[in-house]
Amino acid sequence: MVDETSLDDHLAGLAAEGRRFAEPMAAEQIRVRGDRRRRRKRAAQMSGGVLLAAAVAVGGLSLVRPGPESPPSVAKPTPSRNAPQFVPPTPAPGEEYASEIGYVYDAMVLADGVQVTVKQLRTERGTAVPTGVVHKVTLSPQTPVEVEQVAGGKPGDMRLGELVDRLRGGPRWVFAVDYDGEGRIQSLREAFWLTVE
Amino acid sequence: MDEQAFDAFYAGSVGRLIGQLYAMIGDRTEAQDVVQEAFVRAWEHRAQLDKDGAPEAWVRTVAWRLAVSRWRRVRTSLSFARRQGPPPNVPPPDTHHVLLVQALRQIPAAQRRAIVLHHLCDLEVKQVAAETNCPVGTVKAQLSRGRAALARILADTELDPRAGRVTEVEHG
Repeated sequence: MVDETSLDDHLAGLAAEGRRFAEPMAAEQIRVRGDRRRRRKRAAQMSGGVLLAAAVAVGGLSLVRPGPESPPSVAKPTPSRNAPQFVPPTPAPGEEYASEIGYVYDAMVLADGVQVTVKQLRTERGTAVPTGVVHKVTLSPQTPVEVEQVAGGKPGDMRLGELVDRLRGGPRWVFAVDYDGEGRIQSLREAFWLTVE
Repeated sequence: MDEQAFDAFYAGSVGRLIGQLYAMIGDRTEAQDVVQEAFVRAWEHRAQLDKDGAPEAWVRTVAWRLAVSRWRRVRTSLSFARRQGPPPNVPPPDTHHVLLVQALRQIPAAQRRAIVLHHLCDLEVKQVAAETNCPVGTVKAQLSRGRAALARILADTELDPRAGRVTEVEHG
């Protein structure tokens, strides 16, 4: 297998097997499904627009109507020291997830999950440099995590709950944090290939 | 891209892409699913496909992302098992292919993808870098580490050329 020619041949054989047993749908069915997806998206965007318009109208009315004094907010204000503020990344068209690269550390088990701090990084020619954005998130202990160096160099899959001890200290391990279209974190992948400045 | 052009593109590349994704992810049914879903999205975004001028690479990239997304979903739920239904009545894979798939699954996904793109899809290193959105140096390292890992994993198996030579000697 060190021989590159034999690797080429073996992979070609494997791919040929995949091709031989494939029974793909007709092109027309593919197009029908594509058109259906497009219609669904358009409909969702339109209904979203209607909801937004309704919310703006209701908000506008509440501004002009004199009403009872609103009670003090129970929620604590967002700390401003973490400027610049964090905005979850949005998946590009055709993608289901968008990733944020960052140190994941300071893990703490809370009543409703595992809280971690993310110190965001950006990549410049394979090297990661801090962006200045730091934020905390609370995730399910069942959140899947792809690991390698953090698990002793062996690639594998773990749950966040199993990694709390290793992520408890200061910034050490860099992960790609995957956000879905709703801004929820679905998984973490150790970005062991990045060199951090 | 009109219907006729899309149908020709689909007919000419769907089998090849399923083969490539099978090598990348090691599951025939899954490879077919993600490639078809990627083609659905290709039709949905056909204007973008025309602009890019590399529709096959676009479909392959989207299929790979879908496969990665599905792995994550599968890990958090049992939807995969429910979706599949009974397994299709197809012959089992060749024993050499089983060995190769098992070995490929043991190396990191990024190395596996780089190896398939370079050694199966015949892309140059810089093309692999463009498709995977990685620097050229990273791709070179992934290829080198991936090949070394495969050589280690497959040493002394039927896929090790040295094992074949030893057998010939032993059999005189």
